[in-house]
Amino acid sequence: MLAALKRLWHKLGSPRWFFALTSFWVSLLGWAALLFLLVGAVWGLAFAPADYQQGNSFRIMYVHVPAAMLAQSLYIGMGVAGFIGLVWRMKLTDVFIAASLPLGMVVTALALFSGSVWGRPTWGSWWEWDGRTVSTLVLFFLYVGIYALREAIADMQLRARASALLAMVGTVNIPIIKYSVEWWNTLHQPASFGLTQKPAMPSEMWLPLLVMVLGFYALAGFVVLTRMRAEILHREGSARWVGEWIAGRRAI
Amino acid sequence: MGGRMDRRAQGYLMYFDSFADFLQMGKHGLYVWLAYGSTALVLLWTWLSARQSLARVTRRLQQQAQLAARAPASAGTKMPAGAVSASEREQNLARSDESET
Repeated sequence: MLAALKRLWHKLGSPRWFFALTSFWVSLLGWAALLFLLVGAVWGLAFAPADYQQGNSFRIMYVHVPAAMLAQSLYIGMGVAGFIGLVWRMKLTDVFIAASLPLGMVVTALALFSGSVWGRPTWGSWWEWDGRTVSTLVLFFLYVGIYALREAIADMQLRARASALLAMVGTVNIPIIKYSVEWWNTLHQPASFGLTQKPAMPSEMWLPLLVMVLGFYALAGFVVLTRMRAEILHREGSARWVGEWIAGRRAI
Repeated sequence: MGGRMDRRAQGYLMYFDSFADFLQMGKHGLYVWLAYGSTALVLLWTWLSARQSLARVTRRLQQQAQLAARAPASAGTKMPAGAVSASEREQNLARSDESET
């Protein structure tokens, strides 16, 4: 049992094995993302009833909440990958960080932008120096910081170690984002979704949100896996299995 | 059960009466469409850029393979732009041996 687990652990660290395993998942996730996002957007935009207080502006929730959730999840993923990379020297963790960075950065920007656009009709201002908006802005700067760090360091091992460390340290910001609505007096509404309690909305309002969240996460799976595959090919370019894979593909 | 209004409030029917209504979103059209439009653009970009990064490296490796097939004798001395250098490769390999054994 333990030996099998150990073997799996080593397999997981092998780019070649990872590359072979993900070729199926990447297309499945891509199609799932397309389906969920289209259904969720139409449902949220045209079928969900308007909010009795916020009117139709509440529909922004269907893009804002999934973007904010994904922004934090990707960062947690990078932090965990950084930890594993530092402790076990696994190659794939740095590939994961490199692949998640661009997505995490733009999705955080999207959460901030859609929040700002939602804030204008709801709070009466485009920007509030509120606990949650500020901590999300810090998250954005953390993504930018890791990106800049990676661009600045040429040595692969040093780059991997430095960005793993920054990703790990930055995760302290995640609980701050989460509890910001409870710690500080805030305009931001509390969580729309929780694992333990029923949503405060009726099902015709939160079902489209669930579909959108699934769509965002499926898209993230597609994007991160595709970028990881590209990064693996780039790094392993002269390995024999890469040559065989390349030979089996038609010219593009 | 229930009339059209009930079914609409439960989300079974389209919430809006007309397409113009849908575009207008009450008085929040600008904000809703700005948020959804930016989301669509950003998500499309993430999709396309990921696909493009995979296509780019695949194309480069294909070109390299073609070059190597055409001139096997000089393959060791000439390296196409962007290729991973031998020393960098070795570093990678050393790293992978460390983690995989």
